[in-house]
Amino acid sequence: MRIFLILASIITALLLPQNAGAEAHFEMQYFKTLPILHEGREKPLSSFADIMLRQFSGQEKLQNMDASQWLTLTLFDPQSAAELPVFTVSDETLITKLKLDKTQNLYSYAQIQPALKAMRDEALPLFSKEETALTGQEKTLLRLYENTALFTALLRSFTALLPLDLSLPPAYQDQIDGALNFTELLKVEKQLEQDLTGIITRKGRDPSKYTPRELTIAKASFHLQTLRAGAQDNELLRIIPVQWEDSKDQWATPWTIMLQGQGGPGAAFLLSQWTDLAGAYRQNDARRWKTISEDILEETLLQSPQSLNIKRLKIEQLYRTVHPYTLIITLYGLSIFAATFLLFKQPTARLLRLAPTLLALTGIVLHIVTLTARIYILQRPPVGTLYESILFVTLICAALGILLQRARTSFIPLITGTGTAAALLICAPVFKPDGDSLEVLAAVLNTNFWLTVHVLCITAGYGVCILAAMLAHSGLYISGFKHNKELSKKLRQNVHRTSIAALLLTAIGTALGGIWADQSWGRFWGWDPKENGALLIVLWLVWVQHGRISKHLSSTGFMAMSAALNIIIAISWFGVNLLNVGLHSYGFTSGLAGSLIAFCIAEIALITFLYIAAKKQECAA
Amino acid sequence: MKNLVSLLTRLADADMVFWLLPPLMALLVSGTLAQRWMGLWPAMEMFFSSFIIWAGPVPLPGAYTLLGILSINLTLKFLLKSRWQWEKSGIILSHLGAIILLLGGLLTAMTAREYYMLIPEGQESPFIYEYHRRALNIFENDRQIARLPFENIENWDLSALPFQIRIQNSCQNCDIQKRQEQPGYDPEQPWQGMARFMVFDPKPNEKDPESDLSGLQFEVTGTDQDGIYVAFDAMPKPIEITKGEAIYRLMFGKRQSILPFTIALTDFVKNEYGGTAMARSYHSDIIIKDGSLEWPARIEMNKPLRYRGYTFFQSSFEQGPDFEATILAVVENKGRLFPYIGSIVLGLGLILHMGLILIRKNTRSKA
Repeated sequence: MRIFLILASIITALLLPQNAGAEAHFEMQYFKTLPILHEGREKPLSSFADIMLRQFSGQEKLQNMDASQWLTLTLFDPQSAAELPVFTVSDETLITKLKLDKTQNLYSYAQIQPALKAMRDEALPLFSKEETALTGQEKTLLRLYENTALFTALLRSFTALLPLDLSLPPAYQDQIDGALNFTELLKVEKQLEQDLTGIITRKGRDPSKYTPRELTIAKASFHLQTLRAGAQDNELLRIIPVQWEDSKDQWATPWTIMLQGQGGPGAAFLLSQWTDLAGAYRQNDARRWKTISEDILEETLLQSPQSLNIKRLKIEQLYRTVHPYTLIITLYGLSIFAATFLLFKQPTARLLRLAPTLLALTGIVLHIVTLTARIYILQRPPVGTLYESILFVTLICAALGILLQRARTSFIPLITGTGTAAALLICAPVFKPDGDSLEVLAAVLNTNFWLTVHVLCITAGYGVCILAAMLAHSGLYISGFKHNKELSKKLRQNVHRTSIAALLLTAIGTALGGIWADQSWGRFWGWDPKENGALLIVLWLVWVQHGRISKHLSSTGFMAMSAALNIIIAISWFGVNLLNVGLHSYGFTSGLAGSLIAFCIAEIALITFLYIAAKKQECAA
Repeated sequence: MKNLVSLLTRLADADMVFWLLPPLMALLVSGTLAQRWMGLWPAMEMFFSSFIIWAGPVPLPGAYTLLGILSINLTLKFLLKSRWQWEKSGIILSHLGAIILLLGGLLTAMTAREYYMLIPEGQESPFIYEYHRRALNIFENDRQIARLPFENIENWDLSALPFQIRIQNSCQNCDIQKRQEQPGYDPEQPWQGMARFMVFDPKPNEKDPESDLSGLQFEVTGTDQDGIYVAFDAMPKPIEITKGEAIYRLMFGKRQSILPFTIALTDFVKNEYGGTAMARSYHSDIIIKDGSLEWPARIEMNKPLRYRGYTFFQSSFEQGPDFEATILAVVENKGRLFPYIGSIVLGLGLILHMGLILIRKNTRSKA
């Protein structure tokens, strides 16, 4: 069914309202804060615009427009939006197949739509193919179809309220108030139908035999039907809260309000405000735009469910505007730079000596604030997806690096902690889900208690493991190349303590996971890949500790095996998600196997190299 | 005796763990990877529910063997070689926690039974079904007179039945074909019921045995409707045969048991995130009927119901235009509390151990 909806929306001729040509500078503050229900969550329109634009173009901005300005154009001036290059096509061969201009980075809807229409027969069988059986090019093509269908829905979201490039015979004019749009056309629908039936009875279906008046009637009737057909299943722009008691937490689109009669007087009022807003945009009236958008915000909040919180919407807006993780990476980077500098030169000024710690601390505070903002926005603990686990693990690495830091001896724990955090944060966007990274969770995960106690515990364990492994790398390097026995010993102690802390967190986290599994699936342990991954980390840590105690592992061996924790963590954290089996289906990922294998091989090579160098020094001593 | 003491001492060595864990980790990785290709259940049976794994002609230790030795080692180490000092209390407690977890695992492996039950809204049921094992159930005027496990089909003792059954063929996972299109089709044979139209061809098992379509073809004699019948998973209707006054019903499918009480589903509710089909939560409002007693209860995600040794979990649901049913996972496990106790003891032990390390560190720093 989905296939046909997608194909139908693309191949159907798109009737769009007339071009507006808006050029005024509009105040976007209120418009951006307006709430919309999207992907199960109420969010500001600016977030919706960001998600949509990124999905189509992979960009945050378009020409001179930010995402919200682009959304405004798309909603209120779809004719111009259809001409604006917005779609990215990453596959060169597909660009050739679609007969698109290779020199362009982005393509407009007007360019893409006919090209996809021509490839319909080739694309149709792909919709029924398993995703794993699709080639990269086929995936790109399907994604393009889906994006185009989504864009069509977006373009049509407001067509009910926008003026049509159409005129009616004088006999109809009396019943029309103001500009002719779908809503006004509905008022004369019956009369149009009767007249058209009469025309067809008299003259048949060949328009060439119609008089200009009859042609106008036929055209108006055709517009009405096509707009109505295009509105079917258009559930994208849920901006109007539904007032009925049994529709709690539901929001309706303008089309739903008009065609299904949901809403009530409040919804009708909001709809009229939106119509005015569209009018202000199309007439370049910036002052009216500002007043109406403020009024809509006020009215929407008044009508919306109690759970909607304006502060939450504003914080989400800020979160997306500030790009906090770029700032955090920068602060961690500066801290590493300053600490590395101090490793070689000791300045006399106290402030300069404290610079690495202060920079790292500022980064950590910002990191905590950012995670708190995510908790506040989503009203749940900060870790529910793979991407979110990276955000949390990096905080643990950086914070623990600072805790282990002793400025008098060395900056190595700090450099290791913040360096690991910065590196992982740079990689994090790879794991960012398509669409919104602020996601609602599957029913089984929708429990704040277990998300807090189990997931935070185990991901904190991952963070401590990574730090232990990175400190072990540093320790091996110092032993092998710097011949600093005091520092080597200090790092060995650090690795020992952090690996005990890691064992504590991962063992308790794994046990808590078992208890959660017992509560939701009825068994403590099911040998599920995710469970096995967690157990593997625990067993590795236990093995390394027993090797150290029983002296089967020398101090260098202990450091090398602790460094190898990175591989175990990578396998358990990311690797098991590639298997696509088990009950933890919400954590599956794909397309990372090659990178994971490359990482493991590189780590084995690096650890072996460092181990040999350290061992040589150990033997020489 | 001397040898026994020496063996026990060796088994109590702390370094046994160092040698046992690598094969255990290798097994864990292999078993996990195997799930990708074999499916979760068969891989679990092969790697984690076995004493020996055959890698071609080479026998390798399975999880039962390795965990068994590990349990013995931990217990002997705990009893014979623990240093009962305050500084070691964290380690001792952690080991005790691990022993309790392993014991719980053993008890669960020996006693746990997993079932499911499907109850349509407005109906009640005392029946629970196993996920993987199937059986042919035979009823005489609604009284069950035989339950024949499918795994044991070769050894079915059918002598006590009031009529004769002869198994002609069976398959764990069957491909259903049209009888008339088969080469050598003989319309003169006494095909009965659905056997007139369908024939089974064995095909490779599914990754998940739950998804296999098992079936069998058998000949019945000594009744009023003698002939050749087929029975398979999820048959829409039981086979009905009469013999004089008696009515016999033959039902094939997931092995069924009866709870000592009944559960009625009054309402199944699925809450979705606004504007999506994604479930935010779901729950079943039920009534437990035990003898003359009846009381309401709710089963929801992460909040199971426990009653008379059974635990009921909200597992899944079925929805149609005019139909809603809840699917509950039902577990009977005598070792259920062990993981809880083991986890608490293990956690306390590790916290204590970590705390003692930090205290020692601070004492040394001050010194």
